[in-house]
Amino acid sequence: MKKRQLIIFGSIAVVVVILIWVAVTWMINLNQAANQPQQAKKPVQQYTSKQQLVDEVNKKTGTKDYAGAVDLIERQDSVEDPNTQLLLAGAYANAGNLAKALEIYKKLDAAGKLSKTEFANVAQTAERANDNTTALAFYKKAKAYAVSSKTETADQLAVYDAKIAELEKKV
Amino acid sequence: MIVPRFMKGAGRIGLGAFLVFALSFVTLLSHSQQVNADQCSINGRDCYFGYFFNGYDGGPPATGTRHNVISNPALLNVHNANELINTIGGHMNCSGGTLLNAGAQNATGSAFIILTMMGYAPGTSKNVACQVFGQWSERVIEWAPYTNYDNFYNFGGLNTRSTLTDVAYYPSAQTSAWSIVFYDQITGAPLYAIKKDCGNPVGHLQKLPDTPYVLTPHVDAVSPTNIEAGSKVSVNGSVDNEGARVSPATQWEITQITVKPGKKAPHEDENGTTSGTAPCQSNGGAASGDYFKNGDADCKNVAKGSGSFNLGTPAQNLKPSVAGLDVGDLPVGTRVCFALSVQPHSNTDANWAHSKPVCTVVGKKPKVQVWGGDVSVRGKIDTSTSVKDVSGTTKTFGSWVEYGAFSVGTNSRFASGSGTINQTSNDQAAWSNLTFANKNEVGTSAFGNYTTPAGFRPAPGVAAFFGAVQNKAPVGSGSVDISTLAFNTGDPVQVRTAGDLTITGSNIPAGKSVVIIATGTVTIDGNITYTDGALTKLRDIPQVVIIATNINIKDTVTHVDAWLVASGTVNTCSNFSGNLTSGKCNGLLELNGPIVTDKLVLNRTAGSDTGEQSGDPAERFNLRADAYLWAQLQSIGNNKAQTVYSVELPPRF
Repeated sequence: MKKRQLIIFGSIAVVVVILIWVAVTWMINLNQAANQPQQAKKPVQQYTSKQQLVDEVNKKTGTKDYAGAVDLIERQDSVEDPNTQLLLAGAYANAGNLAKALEIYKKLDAAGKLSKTEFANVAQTAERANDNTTALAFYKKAKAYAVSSKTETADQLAVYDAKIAELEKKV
Repeated sequence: MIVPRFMKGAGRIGLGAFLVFALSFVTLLSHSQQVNADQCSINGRDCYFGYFFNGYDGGPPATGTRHNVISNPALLNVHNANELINTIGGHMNCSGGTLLNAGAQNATGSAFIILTMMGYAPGTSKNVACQVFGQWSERVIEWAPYTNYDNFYNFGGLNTRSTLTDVAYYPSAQTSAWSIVFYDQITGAPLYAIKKDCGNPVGHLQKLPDTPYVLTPHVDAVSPTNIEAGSKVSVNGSVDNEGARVSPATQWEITQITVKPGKKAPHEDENGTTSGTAPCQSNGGAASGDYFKNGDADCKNVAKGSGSFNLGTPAQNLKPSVAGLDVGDLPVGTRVCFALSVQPHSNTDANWAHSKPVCTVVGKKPKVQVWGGDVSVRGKIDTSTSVKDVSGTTKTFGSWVEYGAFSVGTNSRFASGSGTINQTSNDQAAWSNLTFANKNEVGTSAFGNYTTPAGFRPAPGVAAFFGAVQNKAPVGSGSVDISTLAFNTGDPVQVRTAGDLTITGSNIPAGKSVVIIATGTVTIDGNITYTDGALTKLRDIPQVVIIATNINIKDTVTHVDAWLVASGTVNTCSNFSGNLTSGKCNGLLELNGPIVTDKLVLNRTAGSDTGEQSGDPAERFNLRADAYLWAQLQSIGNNKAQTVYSVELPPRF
């Protein structure tokens, strides 16, 4: 290996080492920054019973503490559980953050973890967010599920049909 | 037919009994939840059993004979309390407390929502929903601040559905939905929820309690506090709302109670009352009853309205009142009371709440008139006026002087230039043309404050003039008819002296005069009159001059023809006891001659009657020409006329 080649490889190696060092340092700082606010917050009660968590969220919603409801759910150990995620989507919707609610629904749907009984809720949330395309798609899903499962009344099918017809004109 | 052995011989009847038994057994098996309460029982019925008739709706699945509680678009277009009331009310055809379309899906659903929201037990007739619709509407409005009309609500899967004629609870796979949710006012816990896209009440349905409120009305002020017949008054009321919420629309009425003199208004001694009887029907008051009327008191409504009273003691948003109210042409002594009433009294009491009546007594503001001269006062002139509606015209009545009114202090409401005769303006500037002064330094209306005490015109020297007369003779003390003390007018003046003296009635004939100087108090106990016969020359003029420390005139005296000069007080009615009332000193006193006194006490209560007589005086002082002519005669007798004071006055326009 010529001397010139040695210099080039050596330089590249030094640059790579520096880059790795910078990246590791940045990630460590980022992690610390992310942890610091959490440490500053008071711990929240962890609910092992979903119903208890629902009751607490409902009370916060009833007192218009929408941010508190979101915070309570997000800081549950079970936050990644699909049922908790659905509760979180509803809390975001009540807080006025419909986009975030839809994001959660879509994430669950993409992961195949969205219950079919939630299709109508997703459609109505999307409709409120003026996301007519998503609303239309989920109304169709809701209707299809209602027909196949026979869990809803004929009136409810009429509701879906009306919504589908209305949205098809808009999309 | 194969028949079980134990049925042998039972024949057709036995077979029928077996089938009935078997069907019953199957039914019990399939409806086992009726025996052991299921999750729906939290709302008072087991799952799949109708709220109204307790009939089984067929159970799952939902399709087939089951429907949404309210058909499409259900409550999707409901965003507030009024829209909910209108939507629910629009589905019900109520007449006379009966739901005429009770078999319709939406009527049934609406009745279900109303009855469950009001806490009625399962089995309640749909007709009740018609009967309590108004209360339910009020409840929904009352709860509006605690209701979210577009809420993503996790109701846990307890749902409802309709069979068109009934509504049953059932467990649903769906656990959350966009809903209308009524929350507890304190804890925030959901009490009642309706899924918007189907009108299905969902979750644990709890009664919306009626939030308490209690209204207590008061009459805070009646002004002015002293009134006359025909006075205009203002009544200010307020209502305490002690509870937890704003009252619903509440009717209020202000009642005028006119009570005979010396009597009390109904319930005047009670500190607020409640009753099913309305305050007073007369003049547009609410039916029925006359709570503030009895044999001694008549009543009429003078103001009414309706509104919601905010929380507060008192509620600040609505204070019932009435202004410019003519109490009417009432006799002196009549008691005029006002009460404020509200209905309903509270959330649990539909009765009227009545305030304690606040009363005032019709009195009078006696007037004084000065004819033929000026009024000069070294202090303030402080009188009052009466503003009344006379035959449709608002008039101002008051005391007045025919010419000028001079005062070192302020002049309050005393007219000059006879200003309050037939006067329609209540503005003092309109009847103060000869008031000195009637403008201040910057040219705006201000009355009195003519000059400094040192610069003010001196009092006429009547006492000094006659005091200097050498021809004096004592009268003695006690009572005297002063016609016996007379000298011939035009002859040298003879002054009669006394300490305290009482003058009985006297008629002074033509050509006679009397001059009395008393060091004490002169009491006039009878009329002093000059002859009303024809006078042909100056020396025929009779005249009486009374100079004393104090001059008291008794209440029976109506006519005093004399000069009154007092270094102390002239009292126009001195012999009443206790407080002065309209029943005392109520005869007109006419006095012809000048008055010079340190203090003038006007105790007469005559006049100030009703209508055009509202300006009639209690005392009339008249400086007539006979006094001037007699005075001139005295100066002629001395061969001189002495100028004691002169001042340049502005012209009268």
